[in-house]
Parts: sequence; C-alpha cells; structure tokens
Amino acid sequence: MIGANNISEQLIDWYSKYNHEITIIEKDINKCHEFDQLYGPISQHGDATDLNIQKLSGMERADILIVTTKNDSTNFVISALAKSNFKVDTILNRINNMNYAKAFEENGFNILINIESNILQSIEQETSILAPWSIAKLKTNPSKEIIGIKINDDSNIIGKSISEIGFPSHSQLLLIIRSNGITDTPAEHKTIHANDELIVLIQEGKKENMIEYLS
Amino acid sequence: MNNSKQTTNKNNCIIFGNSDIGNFIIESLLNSNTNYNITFLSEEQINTKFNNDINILFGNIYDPKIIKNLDFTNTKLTICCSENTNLNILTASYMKSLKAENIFCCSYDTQYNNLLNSKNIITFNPWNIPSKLNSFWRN
Repeated sequence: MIGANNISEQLIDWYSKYNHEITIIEKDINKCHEFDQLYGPISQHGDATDLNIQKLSGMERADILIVTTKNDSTNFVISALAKSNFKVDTILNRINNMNYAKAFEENGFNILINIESNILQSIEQETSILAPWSIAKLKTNPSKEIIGIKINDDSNIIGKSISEIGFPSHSQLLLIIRSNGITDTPAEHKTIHANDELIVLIQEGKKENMIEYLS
Repeated sequence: MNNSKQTTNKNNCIIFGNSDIGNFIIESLLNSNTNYNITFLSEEQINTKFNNDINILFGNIYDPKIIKNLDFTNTKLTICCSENTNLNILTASYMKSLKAENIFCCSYDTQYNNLLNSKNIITFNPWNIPSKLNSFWRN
C-alpha cells in the first residue's frame, strides 16, 4: 500500500485478520514510526515513485498493490513502475480525475476507485426510487453488471409474481430485499411488493431498459 | 487549434508543458524548413517569446474544451515536456488514449525511460534528445 493514512489503517486491520503480509510505503518518517508502533514493522520509508524504494519494500512479492495518493500522475507512475519491474498482478488505483481513466485502463490498471463516483453511487442508492445503482461490474464477455433497483409505489409490477413479470432475456433476478430488510431468494411464485429492492444481473448498458421494464 | 493557422498537411505539433527543453524544441521546430503548426498547451498562464508564432492554449489537458481544440488526426508530433516528469508520463499515456501519434515524453529521471513500454511513446531525457525527435527539425 502506498501512503500511511486512514484508508491504509482500515485495510491493515482487515487484511491482518487473514494473515496477509502488508507493507506501507510512506514518505513521512514520523508516520512510518507511528504505523510501526501500532502494527509492528510494517512501513518502508521513502518515495514510492523510486524504483529502489519499491525494491526495498519487497514489491516483487506483492500480489496486490493499492495506490491511493491524491495525485493521479503519482499514482500512475507508481503503478507503472510496479507493473513493469515487478510484474505485480493486481493494482488498485485511486483515480481523482476520471478523465484519465482510459489512460490507466490502457496500461492495464483496470481497478480504479473514484471517491466522487462512490459518493454519488451512495447518494443514488439512498435517495432514488427506480434509479438503479451499480453494485459490481463483472469481467465477463459480454460485460455484465449487478445493479440494485428500488421498486416505486406505482410500479406496474407490484403484486405480480416473478413468472408473470418475466424478466428480459439479458437479465437475471438474483435477490429480493424486502422493505423490512429481509432477503428473499427469487422463485417463480414469489410476488414483488412496493419498496422491494431487486438485485439484478444485467448486460452492461441495459440499465435504462430495466427501468422501463420495472416502472 | 486556431483554424487560421492550421494547414491541410499533417504538420501540426502539440507541445504540452512549459520548460527549457520545451522552449528549445519549439524554437528548433520554428527554425526548421518545415512549416509546422505548433499548439502549445500549458496548465499555467505564461508568457513565451513565441506568442506570435504558435497557438497557445491555457488549461488542463483533460478539459473537453481543450481537447476539442486539439486536432490529433492532423498531428504529426506530440511532446509532453513540462518540468514534472510524472505529469508528462500520465499526459503521454492520456494523449495515446486519444489516438495521438509520435508521442515523446520528457523524463528528468532515467529510471522511467522504459516505463511506458509502448511503441507509440518514446521517453527521453532532456540532456539526450533522441535522433527520432531531432529529425523533425534537422532536415
């Protein structure tokens, strides 16, 4: 992980439970000491855009690199160094400006985390009726994604069973979350109620079709 | 790109970032026998001695308003040469994703010379300008 900050602190807690070896590369020596005191010898002091620092950190043993600085060009160079010199398989990048996404993706840095997008997604999920929110994008061929849709009070499908609704061929209903929070496994006879949340697998780009279908 | 200065030949050059090496390259291109149509793109407002000879755009490379003004299909040469190596590397990759050709990326650190591993991007150090780049003005 690059940078000793709140994000890395949370991740250390999480990964440690599964006995993963974690190293933090951090420029600030005081933060390195702080993290070493909290978690044992975990930090490598230095600039992660320096190949020697990456080498000292044991980058050649890394299965996953998590790069979360606030500077896109710094993140890009760190990732490119790790990929070209140490063949790190999985690289997660925080991307601050999504306009750069294509440049990251074309270099094989496909896992991009954009904080603004995540906030917007949460807002959509919390506030929208019949506006699907994206849960996960799957690396399938053709590309598919899992979305959540909350069923509005006046939706035409309320009171209908799943077999009556007959979901479109490009989609598959995975789960129903009832308005009281209880999860329900889809079956042909089960009925959709107002304020149910449907978790659906769809072909990427078919969200709008799904809204029309369920409205 | 200012249409009044555009030519129909593929002679456009895009130069990103202000630096001594950038000024040297602009001067060399202007003094060459080829009538290059140079667009200089800078994130900061600056004055250059080439104000009257080149198109100058101030703004971020990722700004759609800026991109609209960059005619990559008629661009022969793209050079990322700000004083910030990391920014040059990301911008060169970004330009490539926009289908720019003949991209040169200036790096002040030799450890990044083979970083991008792309046929379309040549990384160079300002103290060692590659002959392929020189050839654009030495003809």
